[in-house]
Amino acid sequence: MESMSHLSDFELIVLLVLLRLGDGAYGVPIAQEMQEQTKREAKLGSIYASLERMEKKGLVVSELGEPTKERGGRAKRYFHVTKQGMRQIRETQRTLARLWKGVPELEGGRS
Amino acid sequence: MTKPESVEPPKLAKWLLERLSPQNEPLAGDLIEAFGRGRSSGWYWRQVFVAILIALPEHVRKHLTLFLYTATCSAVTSIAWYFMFPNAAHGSAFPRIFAVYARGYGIDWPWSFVYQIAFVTAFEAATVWAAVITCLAISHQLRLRNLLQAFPVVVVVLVISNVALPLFSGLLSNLQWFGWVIVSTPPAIAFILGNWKAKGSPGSLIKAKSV
Repeated sequence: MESMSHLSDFELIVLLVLLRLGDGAYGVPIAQEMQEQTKREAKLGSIYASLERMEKKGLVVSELGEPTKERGGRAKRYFHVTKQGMRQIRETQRTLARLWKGVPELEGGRS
Repeated sequence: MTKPESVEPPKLAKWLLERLSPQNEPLAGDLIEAFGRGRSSGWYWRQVFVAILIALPEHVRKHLTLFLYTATCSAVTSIAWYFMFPNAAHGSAFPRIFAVYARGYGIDWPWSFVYQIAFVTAFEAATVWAAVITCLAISHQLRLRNLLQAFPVVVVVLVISNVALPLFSGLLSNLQWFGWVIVSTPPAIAFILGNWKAKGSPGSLIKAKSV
């Protein structure tokens, strides 16, 4: 079986946000969606650093869009999750589900 | 989202981002776009600060020789300054230089303060100057014009930091060894900016060495 390195919390959140946004996943909406879902301010620098690390690992791919006036003539960078990225998400989900099971403190929905 | 304070993002933050995180144009575009949609200047500054902080290890890795050289020069300056003062264990390592410094004890305030700032600046400028000259010599760029370009930058950085640091002397003494690191940074900053001004690039020492 191919060994996979585990995703960090932040990487998992970023990947799930990319899936939620689909084709429109670039910096601004990624940060907005992360903030809405996690209720914490997301720093664009951290998001890009994480995406670049994951691109090197083959979990995401990126492509540049057209430069726009609204962005001071700078292009958008769109990100997509690769098949390898999808496998990694599912593997992390399975690992978390296994860890969740059989822990009495976490069963029954009590805090 | 908060109401925008102006249409343009803070110029200094934008300038810093372009120079210290130059590889990330889409990030710069995202920040401009979000600012245009109503983000505050404070938000913009926080984002730029984090982006620069994240890019810093890459800068250090890329210009490692320069950073090590800068840290060494800065440490040598601080050690020389420490050993200039006589104490119970040993006398001054540089008694003649210390004698010049000690003349300031007999001057009334505020001129004693001015004398002290001038002395510290001259002391640090001498080591920074030696470091800049060495760098220019290594890269075969040792010319009077380059030295004259770097001179005002070095002096201005050292004067500003030497005037500012005594204001925080109480805080710095509480920081113990980290306070010592902060006190050692002005010569390092003066060297980096002086070298940058003289050669047009902060990392050109590395290029010259690796050729």
